[in-house]
Amino acid sequence: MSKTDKERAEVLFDALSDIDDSLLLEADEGLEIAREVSVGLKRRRQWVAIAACFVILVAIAVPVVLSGLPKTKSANDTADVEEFVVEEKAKYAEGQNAPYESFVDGASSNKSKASENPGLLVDDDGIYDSNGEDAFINGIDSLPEDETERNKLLGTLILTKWEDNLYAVVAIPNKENGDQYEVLVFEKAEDGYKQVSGFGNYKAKSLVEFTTKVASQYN
Amino acid sequence: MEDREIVDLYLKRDENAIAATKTKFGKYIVTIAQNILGSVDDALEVENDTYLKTWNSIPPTVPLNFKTFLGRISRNLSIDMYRKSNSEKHGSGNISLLLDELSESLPSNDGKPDEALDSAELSHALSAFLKAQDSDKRVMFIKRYWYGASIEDIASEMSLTQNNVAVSLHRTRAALKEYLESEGIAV
Repeated sequence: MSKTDKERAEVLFDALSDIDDSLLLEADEGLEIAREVSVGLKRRRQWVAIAACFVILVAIAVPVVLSGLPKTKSANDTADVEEFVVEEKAKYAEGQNAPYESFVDGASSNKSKASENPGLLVDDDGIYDSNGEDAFINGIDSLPEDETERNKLLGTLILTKWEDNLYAVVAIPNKENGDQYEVLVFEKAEDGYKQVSGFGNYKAKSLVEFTTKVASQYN
Repeated sequence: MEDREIVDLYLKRDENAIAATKTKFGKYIVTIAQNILGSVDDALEVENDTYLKTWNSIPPTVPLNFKTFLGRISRNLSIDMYRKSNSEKHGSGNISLLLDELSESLPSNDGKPDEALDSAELSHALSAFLKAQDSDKRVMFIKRYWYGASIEDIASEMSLTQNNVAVSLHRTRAALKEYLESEGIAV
């Protein structure tokens, strides 16, 4: 804008000062409120932004912190596992005795796993075969194609602890059909561990004893 | 307290007039100044100057509408402060933006050399133009170019989107230019 135009605009702007009172009164309604609302909205948005940042930080930090802490049993964990077992019992009552996917979900969501078997790998994210493939998700395909390698896995037990050893998932290459896994769920009873799903009916005073019994059955 | 009672305090040279004015219209005065100058500190300075100028003006002046009387003083003092600070190369406040927008309304000086109206006549013409506009357009225009309200504030107050307000203001500015040209008014 040239200087001349600016000066002309100022003339127009100045002349507006003396327009009729009625026009000013009509337009001043809510003038101060609008500024307060605007300021209020800005402050609210700032607080919302701050709150959102805080939530994001907490969402990032909590899992990181928790992942570095030793696992402890909580009422919620127990409740989740109990609910899971109840569901599995119901499935078995209905004859659905090969709930691979359900077990996969359960195993993947549980961070408290430990393997007592060198044949397969167990970490917080799942159970893997020797090729690093997810054994549960890939199922049959995850077994090594090489017969020698596959035979090494036969009869191995993959023991997964759930929350203070209350429950365990055991994946066992079937001795009769070496290209399949079977998955069994056990719960800790007063007198030891007992199977609540899968084949057979095993009881043991410890998981080691229990898995030994299962292994002898499958080898 | 009624406006008339406050004016009476001024007429009696009662210093309580200033406190009463501040209580009832302080926010109004500051809002106008802050809208134009974009600075809280400057707006508070204008507020105090407004009280002083009002004190010095009444009497002999007896305003018919005390609120708009104060608003005009605040606006004019804000413009004066803008010009002073602008000449001193300090901040230019919000007026530069308002002037840029208003320049769209300037009538063309091409053609016959119309004589520029004096300020009072131009104010009268602007009043006539604004009264001929739709209520919403008129209110938006005055909020923007008299009170110096931001487009965001206007949209918030009138429950419109900022885009709606900006488009409406653009059309009103174009209409004003057309009006001034059709009336042969030079600026």
